[in-house]
Amino acid sequence: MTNVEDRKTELRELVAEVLEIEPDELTDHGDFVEDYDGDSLRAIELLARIERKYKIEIPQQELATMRDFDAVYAVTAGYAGWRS
Amino acid sequence: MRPGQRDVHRLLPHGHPMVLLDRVELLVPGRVVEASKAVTVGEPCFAGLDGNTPPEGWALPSSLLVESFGQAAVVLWQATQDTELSATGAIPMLAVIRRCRFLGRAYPGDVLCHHVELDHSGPNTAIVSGHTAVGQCTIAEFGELMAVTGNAGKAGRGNGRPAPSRANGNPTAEGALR
Repeated sequence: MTNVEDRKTELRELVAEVLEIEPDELTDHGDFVEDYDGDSLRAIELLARIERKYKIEIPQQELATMRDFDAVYAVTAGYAGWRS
Repeated sequence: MRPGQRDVHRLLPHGHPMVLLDRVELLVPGRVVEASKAVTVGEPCFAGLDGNTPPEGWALPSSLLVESFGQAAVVLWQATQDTELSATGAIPMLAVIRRCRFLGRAYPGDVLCHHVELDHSGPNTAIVSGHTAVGQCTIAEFGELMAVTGNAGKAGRGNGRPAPSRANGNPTAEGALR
């Protein structure tokens, strides 16, 4: 997994599992709370799963910005050092 | 490393009768714990049962099996942290269970043997997996359990008072998503 699309596919599957939806239901800008019934617990689970999968640490404060898939990818890419 | 009973109780915030762990057999901080609990007929969950209770009625409730497994996970998580949660007033709470399968039941006289592996550990979250066996028979598999900490001030065991209730059960996650 090296290119952006592969990483996005992988990350989308991870996020979708936490939100308990199918990956193709998760759009780039769909709001986790408004559109997918997300809550604070799922947010924490999402953070923990991303940290575990990519062996990175993301401060909990970042959750405030991680409202949709695009933002989650941007934050994850930043801490994982992925080049876009 | 095999901690004694005192250490187990020090690492668990629970008090009697909710301590559902008897002994830690093996503890490797950051990696794995193996712990056991003997199921006995004197436990509160069996109160009120009698000779008319069908055999399956004597099975340990699955919720208590999960709780016991979760307590083993807390021991492992606590032993892994630099600062014990009790020192900060944080209380570990089970938040998410995924890919859990019950394959059998445990009855009075059985000994639950939990095998818990730490898959991820952060300051406020931990993810574990593992299984529970009775003898050679695996009775439950846990694909993923996630625990979070809720801060309850100075509450906790040892002060002779019950911990404040957390009516909404929400973990501390100010700003999360919203």
